[in-house]
Amino acid sequence: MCKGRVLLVDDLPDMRTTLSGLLSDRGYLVRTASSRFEALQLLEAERFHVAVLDVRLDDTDEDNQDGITLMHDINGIDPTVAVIILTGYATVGMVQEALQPDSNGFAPAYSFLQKSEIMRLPEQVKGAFDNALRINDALIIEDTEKFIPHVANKIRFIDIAKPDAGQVAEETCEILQKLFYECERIEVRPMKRGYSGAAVFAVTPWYRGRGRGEARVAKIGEHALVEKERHKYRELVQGIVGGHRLPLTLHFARTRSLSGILYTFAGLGATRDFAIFYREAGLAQVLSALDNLFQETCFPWRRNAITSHSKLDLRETYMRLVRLKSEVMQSSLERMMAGRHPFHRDSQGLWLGGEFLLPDPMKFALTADLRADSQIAIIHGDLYGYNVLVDERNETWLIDFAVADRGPLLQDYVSFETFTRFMMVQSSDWKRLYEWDCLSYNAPDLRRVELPPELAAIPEIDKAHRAIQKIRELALPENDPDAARAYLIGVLFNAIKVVTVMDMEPAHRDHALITAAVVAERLKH
Amino acid sequence: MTKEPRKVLVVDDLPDWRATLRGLLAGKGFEVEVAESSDQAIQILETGRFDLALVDMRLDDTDEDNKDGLLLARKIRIRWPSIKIIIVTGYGTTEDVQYTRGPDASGLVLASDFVPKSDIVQLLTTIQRVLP
Repeated sequence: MCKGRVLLVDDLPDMRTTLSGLLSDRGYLVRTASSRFEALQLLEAERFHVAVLDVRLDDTDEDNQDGITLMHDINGIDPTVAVIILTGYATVGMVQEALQPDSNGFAPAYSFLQKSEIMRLPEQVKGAFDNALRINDALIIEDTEKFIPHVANKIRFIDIAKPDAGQVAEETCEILQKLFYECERIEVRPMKRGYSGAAVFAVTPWYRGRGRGEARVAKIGEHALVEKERHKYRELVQGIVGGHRLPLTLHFARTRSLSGILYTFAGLGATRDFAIFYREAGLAQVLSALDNLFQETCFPWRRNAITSHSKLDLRETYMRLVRLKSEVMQSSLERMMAGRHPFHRDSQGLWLGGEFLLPDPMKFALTADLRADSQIAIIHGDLYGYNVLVDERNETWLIDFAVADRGPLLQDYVSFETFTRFMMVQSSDWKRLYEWDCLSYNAPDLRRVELPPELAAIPEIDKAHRAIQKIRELALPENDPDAARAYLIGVLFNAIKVVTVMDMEPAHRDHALITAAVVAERLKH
Repeated sequence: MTKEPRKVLVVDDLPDWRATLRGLLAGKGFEVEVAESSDQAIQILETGRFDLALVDMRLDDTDEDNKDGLLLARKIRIRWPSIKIIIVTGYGTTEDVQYTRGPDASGLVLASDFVPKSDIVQLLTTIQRVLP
């Protein structure tokens, strides 16, 4: 395995050769540049761990300090690079000054070295790897299913252009080497990727001399996304997770384009997400886990500074919360209408199989009066099966706090209902699903909906229905039409969101569209 | 009985190389003086006894054809025959140095050896061989 990449910048050719010789003898991959400009070109094309910079990059000019300027350039391009400044004899004082940490405590360089000490350069570079970069390059990553390259390739980049697949996979491994610095070996298993565009891994670590450790969850994604989650965690999460099932510690690591979070839970044995748990477990266990999720793990929501808002504009609230744009809603619908059974749209609305006429849910969501009395509290904001872990005692744990914020109190229940309805039911029999949705959403009391025998005979619908009724019992107070209306508006926007997610299975998107239309019909009256 | 430290004069016009060579040798227990030009080197040599001179061939790095180092080596060889000389050759000058190894027109062998700057780490091995 490559020990690390070093960028070496010195204007003296022989100095470059000598220093790169010293470092490549120790196994580092060294690239050299003779000027700031050349170095910036290399940095654009490649990623480095350590940069060794001579201060004076033009030896004919005594006042030249291009190396210091380059140090700041590098901090801007990739702050994970550990910079080592080389100085001749006259510049030590100036360099010490330039290396003072800024007001945030960020030190622009790892260390400086006088040219008279260049034989110590390899040891300084090793020090940078051990102390600043903390990359565990001896870590054995067991990835029997070759999951890492596959998942890394699907990491979504919004803030920066997507680096090539090889680099993303390499940086993903490097994040794991940083997060598991104390381990000798880790075993990586797939966890279903969410819509956040991050890769999520269940990791079993083995510590040097201490054997196997408890399961961990590592989430790796674009730096900006993970940084947001880190911020939300500090600001909010400790107050919203109950039952002592808060991630105990979060570790963070970053590379040039990625960041990683390591969720460390105390007491979480086997790690599986709720979706896997749901499929494996019997109904009684699922209901018990739902109780645990909303009564214990999420219970502090209920106590967390709830404010009541009359006639809150839930369209505005939900479109922001689930990140919907009107153009995307329209274009998604048009794509789905493109000659696909069972849908057909005309001026009257949305036809199902040519027999049932429903309102166009997108048009309805964008134009109807969707104000309702609502309660606002701190919520998880992205609560669905892949962000909830279930342990062997059927107790639930949360991950992924990137969008935690104040929002509609009912949202976490609603998103769990729509997750169960769309993702946990594989049927593509649209008539059955339509029938089920009509029953589910047209019932006078959302808390009490019985399935007729022909639907109850379909095991996956029966199971999902009972789970959803459990969620509603936990979410909705008795005889509270305002809450029921706010809940339905939530379902409308969550279903529309699923319709717009391109990489969702088509059958799930179809079902979401049916649900959105049925809910729109109900809300109309 | 402790041995007197060996005295070395480093002659190089580039401050970074003077610092590098000084550090390299001081780290191995040599007593090091540095000079940036031929004239300065002669002045320093007049002040005391030296065992070794490390002379950069090109003493003006702004002039590609500069070989002042060789002229200096010649002066040292004539005035202080007991001082061993190692020529330090920089970028692009390695072929030019070949003739320092044999006697010049007047039969004088200028240097005991030469070391390329691009592999300056081998300097210590060369010194061991040159200084008995």
